[in-house]
Amino acid sequence: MSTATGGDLRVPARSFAVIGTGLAALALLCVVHVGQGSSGIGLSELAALLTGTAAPGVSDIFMGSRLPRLLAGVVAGGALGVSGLLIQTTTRNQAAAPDTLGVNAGAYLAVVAASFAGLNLGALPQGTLAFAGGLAAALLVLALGGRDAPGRVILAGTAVAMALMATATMLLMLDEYGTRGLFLWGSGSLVQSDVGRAGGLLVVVAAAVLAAMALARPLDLLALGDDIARSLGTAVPRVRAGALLLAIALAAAAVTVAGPLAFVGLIAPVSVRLLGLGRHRALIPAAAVTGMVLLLGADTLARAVFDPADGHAELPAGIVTALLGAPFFVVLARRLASGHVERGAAVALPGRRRVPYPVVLALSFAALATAFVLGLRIGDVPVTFADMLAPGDELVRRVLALRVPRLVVAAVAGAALAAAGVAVQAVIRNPLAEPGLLGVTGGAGVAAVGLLILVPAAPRALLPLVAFAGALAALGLLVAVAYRKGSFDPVRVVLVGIGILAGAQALVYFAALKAGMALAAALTWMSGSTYARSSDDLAWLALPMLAAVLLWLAARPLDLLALGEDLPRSLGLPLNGARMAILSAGALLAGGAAAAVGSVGFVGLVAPHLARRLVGPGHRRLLPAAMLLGAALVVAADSLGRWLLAPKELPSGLIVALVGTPYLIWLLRRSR
Amino acid sequence: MLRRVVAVLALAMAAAACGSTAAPTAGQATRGAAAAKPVSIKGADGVAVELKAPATKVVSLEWTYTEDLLALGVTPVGVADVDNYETWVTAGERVNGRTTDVGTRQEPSLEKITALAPDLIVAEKFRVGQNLDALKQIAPVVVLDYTGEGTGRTQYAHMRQTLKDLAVVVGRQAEADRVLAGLDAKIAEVKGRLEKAGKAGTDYTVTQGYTGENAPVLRLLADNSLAAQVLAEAGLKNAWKGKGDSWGMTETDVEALKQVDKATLLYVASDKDNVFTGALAKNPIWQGLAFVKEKRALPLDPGTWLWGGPKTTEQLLEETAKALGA
Amino acid sequence: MGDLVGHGLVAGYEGKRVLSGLDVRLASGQVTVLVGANGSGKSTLLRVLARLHVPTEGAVLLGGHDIARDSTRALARKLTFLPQSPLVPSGLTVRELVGHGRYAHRGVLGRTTGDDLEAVRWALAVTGLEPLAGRRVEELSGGERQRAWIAVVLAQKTGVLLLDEPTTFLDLRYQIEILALVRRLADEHGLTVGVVLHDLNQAAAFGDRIVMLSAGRVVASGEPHEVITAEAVRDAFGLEVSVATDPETGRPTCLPSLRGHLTTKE
Repeated sequence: MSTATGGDLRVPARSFAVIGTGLAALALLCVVHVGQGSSGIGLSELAALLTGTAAPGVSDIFMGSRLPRLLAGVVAGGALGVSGLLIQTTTRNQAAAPDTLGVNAGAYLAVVAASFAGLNLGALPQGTLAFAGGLAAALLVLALGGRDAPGRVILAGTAVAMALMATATMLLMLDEYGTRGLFLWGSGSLVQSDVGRAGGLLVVVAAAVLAAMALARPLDLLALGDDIARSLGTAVPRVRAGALLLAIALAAAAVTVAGPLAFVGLIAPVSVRLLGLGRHRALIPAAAVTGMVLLLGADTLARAVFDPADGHAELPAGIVTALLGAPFFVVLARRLASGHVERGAAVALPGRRRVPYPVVLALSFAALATAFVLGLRIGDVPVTFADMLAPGDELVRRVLALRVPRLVVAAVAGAALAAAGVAVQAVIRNPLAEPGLLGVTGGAGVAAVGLLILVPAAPRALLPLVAFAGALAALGLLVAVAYRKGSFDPVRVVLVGIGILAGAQALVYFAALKAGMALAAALTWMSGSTYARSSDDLAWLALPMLAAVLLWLAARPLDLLALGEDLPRSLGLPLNGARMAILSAGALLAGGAAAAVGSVGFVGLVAPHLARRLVGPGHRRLLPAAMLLGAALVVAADSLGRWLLAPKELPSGLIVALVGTPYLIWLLRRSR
Repeated sequence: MLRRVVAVLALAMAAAACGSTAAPTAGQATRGAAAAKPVSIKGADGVAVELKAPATKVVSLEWTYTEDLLALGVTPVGVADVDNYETWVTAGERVNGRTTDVGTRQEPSLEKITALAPDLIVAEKFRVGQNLDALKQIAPVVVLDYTGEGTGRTQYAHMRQTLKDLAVVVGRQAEADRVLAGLDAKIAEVKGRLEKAGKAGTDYTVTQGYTGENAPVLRLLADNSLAAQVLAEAGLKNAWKGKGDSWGMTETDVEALKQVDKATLLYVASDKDNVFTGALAKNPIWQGLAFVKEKRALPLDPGTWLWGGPKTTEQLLEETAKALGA
Repeated sequence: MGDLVGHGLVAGYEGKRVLSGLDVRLASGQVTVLVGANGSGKSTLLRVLARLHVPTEGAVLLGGHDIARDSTRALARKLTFLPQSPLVPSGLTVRELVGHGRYAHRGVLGRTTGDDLEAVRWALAVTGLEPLAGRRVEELSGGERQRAWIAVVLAQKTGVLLLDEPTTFLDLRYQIEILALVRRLADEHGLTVGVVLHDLNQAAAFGDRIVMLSAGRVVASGEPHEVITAEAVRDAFGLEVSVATDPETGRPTCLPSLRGHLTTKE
């Protein structure tokens, strides 16, 4: 974070140059953007409006579509740019943004929940609701993730965002009537029905940006650290709270106008800092202009490639920003210092009196057995306990033949996910590191969708195999990018992983949009489901289970990883090699689980953490306990998913995420 | 493996019997009971299904095939997504209360289906995946493809063919002929009414609208859609020339209507989410469109489903004729 | 075991040279203290000696053997390093933590032997932690915790022990307690100790030999009275000091001269 050098207290010439160039680019983009649209009416027809010689209807097109859309881009882009800047300054964290801090997800969930409840709100009430949701999410993440540890905050933010998005998806699924639209919800788009919403929020955003400008000088001081800023006369808590509230209000406004747009709030402020601006008086307008340029640029690009005037379907701007933003984030993560080399993303959880190991094992096993028996009992066809012991009826036997394999697959996949979580958390040294965050399951999804698009005739049985290969490829990419200067910084691993995950999601969205319903099978499969699994699917988990055994045998190196950077090496552990090996085992486990049951999140987070509280940090004991609990969790989720809305099934992945959310909040509250 | 051999044999037999590779055919009974003849149908996945006798207990996992079966006089023992079927597909017979809901179309309950002990399961190609093997364990599964891609048929022709194919396996060929004759008669009737009303050759655009993330989304039906093809049969001209996806639709925004506003707009929207009387009514583009100003934006019944079978198609024809004042 | 010797060491970070060709020797069985101003390269030197940082030129020999050729585990049986403020893992007891010190001997799959148990017991005894062995590490006081970390590397049973500023963040009593422990390790257990300290008086009081660094070079090395001189301190720290002899230990002590730094009141 650079600050203006020299004694010149005025905004330096460079700032004028940057903002001026940005404004010129913005003006150019606005012109191009206004000329695009599905009616095919171009700039020349619109230009006639100026001279009053336009054909009839052209002014309607301008007022009814072009202007609202342009305004939406300006409002959302500017709001996100400034929001990201304020968040990055107050958290002193270059990778923080409305999306990595959970603000977008919180705001989005609030909007979805309102529409689920049947409320039909105007722009401002909806914006207020989005603000409340975003505020709640951000407070949760900040209060619990800490401020001065970039890796920790982002882990907390990503985990909270995942949970909130899962909840939103759940609500959307419950409300399902079509099949197509839902999946693309939540990607963000600039399409507007009239100028009212963007116009109304323009006022809000402008006011918030002006208020942020008023805070420019104290914000400059905040960059120097709390203590110094306070000594220099800044009311640190008040400035920080004010800036954060403004940031959240801005992000909520953007969500209300355009839905959750990925990465704009991250890239805009980072770019203006990379351009050498340091003072907020210049940073704020520059970030706003850059955000507008990014968003309108993405929208313009999307419509230039898939011209709606030629009858192409809309490509939401949010997908484009995610596609372009993910690589940017990965590169940024690569150069981002983790703050404290020794600590990295490490989070310590308060100790707790341990329960004797055999008792824990017995209890975990009992939990699994109970879940399994209930899973056999619950379903669309009644099966009594007596039936389980001696199935007399042919129907009961056939139903049990359906239930047993899927429950076994659920159990083994749950165990694999828990083991993956243990491995990844040992390497990252953070109990919030969820294997999905490494982008492994994202890679699996891209590969599966790619297969269906490139080789439509390929047998569906190939899906898991290809997904498995995709998971390993994602790991390879992660390692190649994150391994830098001879070290394997855990924070960098997580950030690069998050970038890969976001990129993979954007690719899948894009493919889904272009290939339409042909991907329905892949998408359902990816949502994390134990539906219709047979004993064949266990094959995907054989190798991962072997990896779990190896991890158990290698418990000592896993233990040593908790000791930081230097000490494990002094104690005789080849650190980078060990990290690579353990991470690979984790990816194998997560990839195998993804191949078998799709992307089920949170098991790798909840099960290891629960086990850690019961048996302590030693991995020889932790791993078996976590695997049993993970198995119990997924088996229970499978049963719940079949029971809640029977005969409709809810994907196990969603159930786990819903159970995981409150647990996660509780876990975060206790972490220090 | 064995199943594949059987399938190939069945295909060969069918081909030999009628001299055409186009399945399905009522097999010439060379063995088995005198009353019930073996029947076969070739699925869109290339897999032929052979039954010893026409199926009576059928489970339908897709709305279109539910509608087809009902039109043929066969009430499926199990239907996926009953509630939404009742809401969205209002043509033809009702199914609620007469059948078992087997869950979502994407992940139907295998247990429910097992309990129904069907002798045929009808599935849609783009939805089956993980569950195909499990379904096959329960009963023979015929996998059909609504889009008809790769068959060389138009969607309209394919819809007719699918009805005939299904009729074979449920032993209702005569019903199928009657239904299709009814459809032909409906087309002719509507065509006649339109001509009498002076509406023959009218340019039109048909669309379904719903609220997307922050604005109305319009699904405009292109020439490769069933709706456009059937309306062409009735002598109307589709004005929308955009790129349709496999289902024949282009998802776009209100602006696109400017390209076709000289035509007549036929729109479908649910009562709960009517974007045409809601968000769009306030939009200046919508207000300025020629068909809005000249009162040529005409609602069809909210229950008009645009991707259905013969009864839905008749409903579309009737609704169109009514909307055009014929 | 022999002396730990660095020859012509050149090392740095990202193009910035920190050590520019220096020679250093940690004599067997003695406490050698590395001192120098901030950025003089003393911590980097210690890390190079521990092979945690690979020098671009030069070599480190232990008993005449180049440590670059050892495997990580083999080296960890001969030499160990305690970083300045290691991460405190949560939930571990002191005994479990100290047990981690046996990794170099047990490896991934090796069984825990009597030697391992004996080494842990010894390390706890030497550091006076036996009564606290069942306590959780995060419950310990600063001084106790630092002793626990020392116990970890002691359990390794290496001949060479390298400590990076082991007294930082401790109050004066704990500082002396830790340094006395370090002294005992050399005197009673024959360990070769290399330690980085900031306080020149403590370095002089507890070190057998002192190596003074400035700008990546050794500017003075030898016994305390040879190194802690007004001239050497002026060169290395840019500060005027007056050097006296502690009557109790006979070791040199230095006091910074404050002339020119304070304004006298009229």
